[in-house]
Amino acid sequence: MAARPSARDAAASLNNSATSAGGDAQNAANLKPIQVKLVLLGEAAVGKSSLVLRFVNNEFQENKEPTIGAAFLTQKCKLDDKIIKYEIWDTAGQERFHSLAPMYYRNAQAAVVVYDITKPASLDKAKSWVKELQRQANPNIVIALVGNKLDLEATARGVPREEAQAYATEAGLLFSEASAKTGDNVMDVFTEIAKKIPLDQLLASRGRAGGAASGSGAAAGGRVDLNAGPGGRNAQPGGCAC
Amino acid sequence: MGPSAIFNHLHTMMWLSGANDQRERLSRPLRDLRDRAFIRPNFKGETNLQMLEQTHFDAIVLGTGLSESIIASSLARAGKTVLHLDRNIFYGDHFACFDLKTFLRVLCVERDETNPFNAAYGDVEVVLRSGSKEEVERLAGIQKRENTANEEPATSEVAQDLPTDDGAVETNGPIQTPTPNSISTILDFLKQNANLVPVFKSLLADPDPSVTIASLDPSDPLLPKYTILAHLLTQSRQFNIDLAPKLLYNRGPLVELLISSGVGKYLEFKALESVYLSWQGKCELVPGSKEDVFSNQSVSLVDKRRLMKFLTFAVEYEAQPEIYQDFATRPFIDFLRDQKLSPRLISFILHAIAFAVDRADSETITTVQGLALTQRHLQSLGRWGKTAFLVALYGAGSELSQAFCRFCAVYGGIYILNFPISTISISEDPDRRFKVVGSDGGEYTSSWLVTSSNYVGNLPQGMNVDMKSTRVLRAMAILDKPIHEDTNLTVTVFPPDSNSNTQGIIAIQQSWDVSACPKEYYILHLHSPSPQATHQDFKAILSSLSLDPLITVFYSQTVQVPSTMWVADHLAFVGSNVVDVDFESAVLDAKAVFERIVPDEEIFGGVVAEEDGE
Repeated sequence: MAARPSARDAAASLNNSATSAGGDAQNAANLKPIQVKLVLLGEAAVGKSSLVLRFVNNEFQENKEPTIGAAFLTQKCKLDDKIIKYEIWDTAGQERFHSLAPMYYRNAQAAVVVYDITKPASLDKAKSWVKELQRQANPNIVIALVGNKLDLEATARGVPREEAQAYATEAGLLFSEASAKTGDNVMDVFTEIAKKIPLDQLLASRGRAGGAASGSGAAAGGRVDLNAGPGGRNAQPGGCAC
Repeated sequence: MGPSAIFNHLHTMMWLSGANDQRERLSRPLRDLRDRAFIRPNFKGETNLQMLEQTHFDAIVLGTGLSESIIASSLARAGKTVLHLDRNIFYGDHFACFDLKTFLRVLCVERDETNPFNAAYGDVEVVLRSGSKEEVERLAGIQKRENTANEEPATSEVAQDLPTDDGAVETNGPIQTPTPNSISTILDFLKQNANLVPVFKSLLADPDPSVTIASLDPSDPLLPKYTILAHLLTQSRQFNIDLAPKLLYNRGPLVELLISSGVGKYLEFKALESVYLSWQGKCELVPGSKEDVFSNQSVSLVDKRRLMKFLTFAVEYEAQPEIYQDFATRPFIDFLRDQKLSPRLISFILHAIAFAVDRADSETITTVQGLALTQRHLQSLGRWGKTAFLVALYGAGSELSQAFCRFCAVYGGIYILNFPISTISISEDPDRRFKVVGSDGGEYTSSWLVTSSNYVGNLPQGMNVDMKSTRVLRAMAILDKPIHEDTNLTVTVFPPDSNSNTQGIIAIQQSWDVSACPKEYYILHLHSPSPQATHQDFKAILSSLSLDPLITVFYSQTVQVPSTMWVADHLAFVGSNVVDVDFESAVLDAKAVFERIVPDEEIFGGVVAEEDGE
């Protein structure tokens, strides 16, 4: 990933494209967002949620509480003529005692495995999560290894960039170092993932069992959308509120 | 993608070849279960290092069956602190869902009788299709030579496997020596899976336990069976096999709860396609709408009118008490007879609408009970699909439990699976009323304790909990053709004596459509709520329908159900209802527990749409 002149600019430009994506979608009726399930993994306190909050809301909270309160976050991202809607799943702390449910990985098209560049043990943990994903998740899953807390590079780096990069290359992962605190490289992680996801394949397989995320109503492969049915809670067409 | 795919492949191969075997002294089934639950080999060490800083909770919940999971998530949602533990390393308890290997191992191999979960399973019998030479060659991946065109159907009579699972000499004509190539393919498979050989042996009830791979003769009559099993096992991970398959009523309280809580967003469902009823040896499609009733050719017009009149009344039966009050506490079947319904229509209402399939039930349920069951079914029609039911993808109870547990975690609930419990003690101190001690030494206290009946053995000595045991007999059959032509997701009800079965049986067919199995197969789950049911009841049905499953696994689930929910003021027991075809009782149990612990709130009350985080 080439370094950008300014991380803040990169963040801003991506946010712009994400904002304008909504407008484009309305202009081009056939341009429906492609839903992509993305799961977060990594040791506790490496900044998984902070990275996502930076990506989704472009904000950072110092001393954030351990994750509670959000089932998943969503963010749109525009790539060429396509709009990707990330549905980002946080572990909700269930990884801590190795009690993540199989459901968590199910049909995930992308995973961001996070470690803390100041803590070498967190990279080992990240590697074990990568192994789990490669064994248990969808075989075509796009995995990005992200070393967080790049802002602490000067004072506390514990994992040499080259070491993590070499591992990522060998294991076939996207790799970058980022800082949720400053925003450095955070947006890039998600755009690089978007570039690597086989979107056309995803569109084609939509609605098949074991395929992509669910569609609405009973249309997509006969799936029933509980909320879209009569008496459902938010029965608006398309089911997309954002 | 290339390297990752190769890596994945290598890893799978390593696993298959048992390369990890030396790592730990966990028994093999446990290790596989652990693998499935994504628990890494050094799991135990890490738990010990990572003790929870918080040790007191408003509620500790034991077991991740559906009732417990709904309770845990509703409490967390209402702001209570929750610790949710399970001694197993998978979610779902008796509703768990496994790949084929794990399924077979849980039921057949290295049973840990000290774990009440395992102790609940018995009466295991495995029957494999006998298989022909063609099938052996096909499954071994060998192209048939052009000149072996003489057709030998790849079937064998199921009846040949009766009354005992043979393992004996094939009766399906002489098995000719397969080509050296196919033999070596099978032997290679077995060599790579040396750890499976004992499983194969026990599965096949081999009369000669001294047989080893090396001694396997190409003309071994068991070879076709090995081949079929070996072939299925190579696809193991494409199977999601429920221990206790379930359906959801379209307008039942569970579906409503999934919608109102938002938990349904984690789940995927399909509509059940059709319901069949076995009547005088034939399976008939059960009409799912008024139009279906009237377009049905085989029912007389008089009967159609009587049926419609009855169904119209039953939807809102409470409004017309004068019609049924004389029969209110008398058997439903007497009331139906009094309505001048024909025996066929009575069977239709009793078995395929009220789902009172057990012989005793169908004769004893009262009119009020029967009408309530009928009403529940009718109200669920016309919402999605052509039947009253939804089918969950990837397994019902297991997925639902996982979804509620995730929701609980999102609201701060803490999860520890694979947590063997050594003792539970009870004290007078209201702040630490219950103390749960794990066998790793971890101690947690709580003000409330909610537990599945699997943990009754951990209670203090002298504490009497009155338990009733319920046994359900089951069979899981993997088919290569559907039970009825062109069906995927379907239920067939076999009332007592309707076919060659003496006991009532419900058969749920799942398919690739709900990711239950690879595309070329179907999974037929048969179960009988009757305590008198035997394997023979299932075998008779499979045989009469000319189904020749590749493999059939018979087993029983025996679950303890407490006769009272609250065994102490703050201690609730919930049982796993493995008998019913639906989950409604789990929701009722969960609501009752929630209302006692959080009396002023509605379960999942105040949930708003913004929880998307959008």
